[in-house]
Amino acid sequence: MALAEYGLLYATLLGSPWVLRRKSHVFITIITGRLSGMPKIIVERGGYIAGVAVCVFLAYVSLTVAISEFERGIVDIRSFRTPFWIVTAPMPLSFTLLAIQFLRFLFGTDSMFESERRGTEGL
Amino acid sequence: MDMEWFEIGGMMIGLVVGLMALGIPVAFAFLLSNIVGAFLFMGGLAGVEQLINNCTRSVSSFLLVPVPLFILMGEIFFHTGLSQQIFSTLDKLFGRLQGRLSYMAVVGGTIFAALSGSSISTTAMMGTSMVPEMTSRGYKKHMAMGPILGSGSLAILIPPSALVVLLGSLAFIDIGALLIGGILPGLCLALLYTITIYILIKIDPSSAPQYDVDEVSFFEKLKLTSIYILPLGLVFFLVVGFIVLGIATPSESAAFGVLGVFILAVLFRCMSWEALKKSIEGTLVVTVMVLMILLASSTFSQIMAFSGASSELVEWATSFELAPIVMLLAMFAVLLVLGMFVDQISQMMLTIPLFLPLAKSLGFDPIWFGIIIILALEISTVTPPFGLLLFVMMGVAPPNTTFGEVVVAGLPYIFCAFVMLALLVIFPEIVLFLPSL
Repeated sequence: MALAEYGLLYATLLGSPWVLRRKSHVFITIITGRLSGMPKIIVERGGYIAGVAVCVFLAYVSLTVAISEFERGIVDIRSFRTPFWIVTAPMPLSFTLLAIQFLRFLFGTDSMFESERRGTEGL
Repeated sequence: MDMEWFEIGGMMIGLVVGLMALGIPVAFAFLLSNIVGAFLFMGGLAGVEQLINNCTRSVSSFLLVPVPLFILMGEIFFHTGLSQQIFSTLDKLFGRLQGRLSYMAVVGGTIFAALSGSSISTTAMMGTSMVPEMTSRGYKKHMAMGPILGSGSLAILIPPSALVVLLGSLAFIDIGALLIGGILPGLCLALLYTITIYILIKIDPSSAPQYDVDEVSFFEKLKLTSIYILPLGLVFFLVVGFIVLGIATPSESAAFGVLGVFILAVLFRCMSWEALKKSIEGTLVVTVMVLMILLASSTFSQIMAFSGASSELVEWATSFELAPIVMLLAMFAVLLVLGMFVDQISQMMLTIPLFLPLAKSLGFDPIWFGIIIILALEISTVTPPFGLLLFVMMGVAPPNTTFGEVVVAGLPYIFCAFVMLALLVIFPEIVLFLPSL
């Protein structure tokens, strides 16, 4: 059971950068869809910068959390005992990769908001 | 922080919705707002560390196991072409009936809803395969797109439904009971759709012109039904029956469901490596994007509770001593308005921390209240300006279709959902009967 639970966590975190690269994360086009020219570029770039900031910050904090858990030897007790840092470890990795992907959008020519797949994936 | 509860609540919700509106992916809008909220209301950096722990805890839950499995069921079903096979069978089973294609959309949509947990893929699939046929038979646009929009959204209500699993795990409602509670309301809604189609055809017979179909003998029909339709019932039973009988938890029965669809696909000779690969890839994308929002928004409800916004709202809202039904309608309205702009998971994440304590204090049955929320989520998939299914339908509709036409086509079926709401309020047994067995 714990394996299935950790599997969900690892799949979500490690899959997330890939999903971002595919531009498949859910976002709302209420404003970006109506803009063009300079305002569009500003709003889009602003979004990427926010993304980078969030991901870098969380990567850093989660890394310190994981290190401290490792040093204090905390365990997660479920159907078997797991060192807690193993549970937290995918966080810094995931958010670092996410930050890199946001940076690629920020400095590249590719736009996150132009996706042909949009609208056919979801619940 | 010295802020009134409504300032805190308003700031947090405003921040999330504002960031979403700027086009920041929903998950990251939640993360950013939660970092701010955790900093302000949960003790600075310690709050952010708590946020990290919440993130890892939120998705590593056995309760969520059905989410990817239900999605996988639907993906296998659509990618292998099993769904097409059902359609061609239904086409032979339906005799010469006025508006047969519209009715077929409802029946097909209900069957798909019982085998897949995704209203988007159901709508996309039915839209691509049925709208061209309907158009060539001279159906008016609203008779073609409307029934598909309506019955596509049934997938949320009728189990297996990934959204119901999410709601149950977030709101601490018994997931098995919630899944089963959706069956009768779903079927009632499908019935309301058929009545609507009947009335629409009576008003304007030219909207769904008659045409000749090949006669299929009774025995032929019986044979087709037992070969192609009955086994589907078996798969449905693997998921729902196992839960009802208490043989399996929803997580376990979801695994049986996947196995069932897989075996069906192999038996009907439509399973291929290509289809399997596509199904798994599709499942991974949808699961990750759904669970990422869940992970990102996990601290939101805690901030609401920590800052006192949740409890104060309940106190404030109940201080008017309005009738529970008025409160219910108010909550329903909030969900609908929110649903016009944000996706369904965000809708749940934003409202559940506030609505759930409120519903509890009003003495609502959690399963019944859960199904009402699901009904609101279902309606919001077809309400303009941002109903997801409207866009899906736009994508598969004939080239000269305007967005307005799609919206208008959906209206009678939205009305049905409101009738359903009234029915659920008057007869809560529609939800509660099956789970009570």
